[in-house]
Amino acid sequence: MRADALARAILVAGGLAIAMAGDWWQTIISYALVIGAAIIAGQFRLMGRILLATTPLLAVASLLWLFIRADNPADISQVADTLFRQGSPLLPLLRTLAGSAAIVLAIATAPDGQLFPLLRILKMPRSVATLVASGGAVAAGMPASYSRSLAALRAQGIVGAGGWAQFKSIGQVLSLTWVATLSISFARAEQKWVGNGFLRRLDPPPPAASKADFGRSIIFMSTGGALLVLILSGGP
Amino acid sequence: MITFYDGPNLSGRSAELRRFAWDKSGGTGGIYVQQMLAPNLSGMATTVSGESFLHGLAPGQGGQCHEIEAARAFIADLPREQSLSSLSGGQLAKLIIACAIGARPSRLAIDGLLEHLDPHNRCAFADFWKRNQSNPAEIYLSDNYGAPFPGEGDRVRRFSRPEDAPDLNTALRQLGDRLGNVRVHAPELRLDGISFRYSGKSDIFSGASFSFEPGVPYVLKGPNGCGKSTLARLLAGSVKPSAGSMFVDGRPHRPHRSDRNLIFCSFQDPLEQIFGGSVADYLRTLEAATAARPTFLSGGLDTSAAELISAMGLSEFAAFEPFDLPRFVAKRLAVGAAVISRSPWLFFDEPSIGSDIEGRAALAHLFSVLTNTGLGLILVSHGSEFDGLKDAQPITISAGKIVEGGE
Repeated sequence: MRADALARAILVAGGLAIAMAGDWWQTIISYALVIGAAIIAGQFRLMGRILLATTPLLAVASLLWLFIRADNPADISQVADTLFRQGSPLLPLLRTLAGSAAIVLAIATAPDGQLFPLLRILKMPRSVATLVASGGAVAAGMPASYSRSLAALRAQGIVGAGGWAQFKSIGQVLSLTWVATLSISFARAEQKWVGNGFLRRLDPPPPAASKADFGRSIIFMSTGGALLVLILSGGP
Repeated sequence: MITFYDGPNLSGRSAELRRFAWDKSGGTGGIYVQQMLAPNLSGMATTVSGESFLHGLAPGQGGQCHEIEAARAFIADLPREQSLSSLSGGQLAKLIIACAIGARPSRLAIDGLLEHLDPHNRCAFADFWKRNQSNPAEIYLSDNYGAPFPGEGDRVRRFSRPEDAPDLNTALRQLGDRLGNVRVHAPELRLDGISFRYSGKSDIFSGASFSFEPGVPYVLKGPNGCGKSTLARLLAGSVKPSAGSMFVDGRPHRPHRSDRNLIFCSFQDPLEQIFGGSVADYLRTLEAATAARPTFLSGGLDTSAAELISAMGLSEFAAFEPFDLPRFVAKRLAVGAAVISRSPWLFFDEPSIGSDIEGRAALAHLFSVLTNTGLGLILVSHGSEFDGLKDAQPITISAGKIVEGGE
C-alpha cells in the first residue's frame, strides 16, 4: 500500500516533469524515471496501464512522421528537423498528452476504496482527501444511480417507455438521483464521518520500518529528486 | 451480551441507540448503523471489495483477529467485484454489518438493519455473536421482527410512544376501512418462459413461468439476492427479459415497451423511490403522472394525494423533504403511494420493514382490504406477518423459477 502510494506520487511528479520538460532529452528521461519508479515499486499493472495509455500517442506521432516522410521523400532531414527541433509544436503536444495521462492514471487507477488511504499516506489533509475520494466515488457511481432512478420511476409509472419519454422526465430522474445519491452523502457526513468516527479509524497506521522499505524509500526519494530537478530546469 | 431495545415506532429507540453508540465518555465511541442502507456505506467505494478494504476486511488486512475473520466469513458469499449499487437490500445489509464489526468498535448499535436479512442470515448473525462472547464490543439492537432476538440472557430495554406522537398505525387501519367497500377489476398476469440475468452474473430467471390472479395476495419469500426485486423490475418494464413472454388477460404484453399502467412497485429502500422537494410534491407529481396514463384497471380507489396525506396521518410530515422523514414514515409513504397509483397490480418489496408489531398488523389489514377490492397484490417479506392473509399464496424463486411454497 505504502509502496503503491509512493509510486503514484512519483507518477504525478513524473507527469508534471514530462509536461514541463524543455527538450526531448528531458522528456525521455522523465518518461524513463516514471516507468522505472513503477517497476521498482512492483507496480507492473500500473506500468502496463501507463504504457497502454501513452504508447498510442507515441505511435500516432511516429505514423505522422512516416506519413510526412513518404509524402516528401526528398526532404527527410528537413521534415525531421522541423518536427524535432527546439520549439517544434510536436513536442509540447506529446508532452502535454503523456504528462496528463500519467497524472490522471496515477489517481484514477487506484483500486476501488483505496484512494482515501492512498492520499492520506501522501500526507494530503484529511478534508481534501475526503473530498477527492468521496467525490470520485460519487462520480463513479452516478451512472448506476441514474439508471436505478430511471428504473424506479419507470416502476412507478412516472417515466414512460422510450427515449423521448425519459428525456421529458429528466427533472424527476435528476431529483430522485439527488435524493438517492447526493443527499445520502450528506447523511454520511453526519452519521458515518462525524458520529461513527469512520475517518479517524481510516487514518493510516505509522509505517513499519524494515530494511526493504528503507531501501525502496531511498530509491523513491532519489527518483523524486531527479524529477524535481527536471521540473525546475524545464519549467517556464 | 445483546441489549435489545424494544418498543413501538416513534418511541425514541433510534435516538437512544445513537446516543449510546456515539457516547465518547468511556473512550472512542462506537458505531451506529441504521435501517436506511446507503447512509451506512463509506461513500468512498463502489464495489464490495472496495468497501471491505476501507473497513479492514480485505484479505491480508487486520491480522488474524477472530472478529475480523468471522466478519469476512459472514460476507464470503458476496461477489467481491460486484458494484454496491447492484447488491440486493439483504446483501447490502450483510456487508454493512460485517464492515461495522470489522471496525472493532467498543459499542455497536444496529438499528433495524437486521430486518433486511432473510431468516438464515439472521440466525447466522445471532450464532456469530453468541460464538464471540469474548468480543470486547457491546451490542445494542433494535429490531421489529423478533426471533431470534432477544435471546436467552439478553437484556431488554423497553420504550413506549409519547402521548403526543402521531399515530400512523390507527390512520392506516382507518384508510383500510374506508377502502373496504370499493370494488375494481384487475387483469390476470401470466409469465411464460421468462429468462433474465444482469450483465456478468448468473441467471436470475431461467425459463420462469407463473400465473398471477388478482384478488389473491401472493407472499413472495426467498433468500437475499434470489431475484425478488428483479421480478418487480421485470413486471414493471424497468428491465427487459432476455427471453420469454408476458400476457395480460391472455393478450401479449411487453412492459418495457408499453406506457399502459399495469403495476406499481413500492421499493425496499424508500429513498430509491421518493423524490421531489417534499412529501406533498412527490404525491402530487405521482398523481398527475398516473392520471395521464391509460391503465389496465377498471374502476378506482378514488383517493387523491391530498386525501391520502391526511388519511395516512402524514399531515405533519407533508412539507418534509424525503430524506428528512423518519425511516418508517418514508417506508409508509412508499406504501401509500400505491393507493393513488391507479395500477391494477401492486408490488410491495418488504413493506413492513421498520414497522412495529402494531404497524405490521395495520399493513396486513390494508393489504387484505386491497386484495378484497379485486386488485392484484405481490408482497415480499422475510417475516410471517402476511402469511395469515385470507387465501394468501406463498411463492418463492428457486433455481431461476417462480414456484409455490415459502422459502
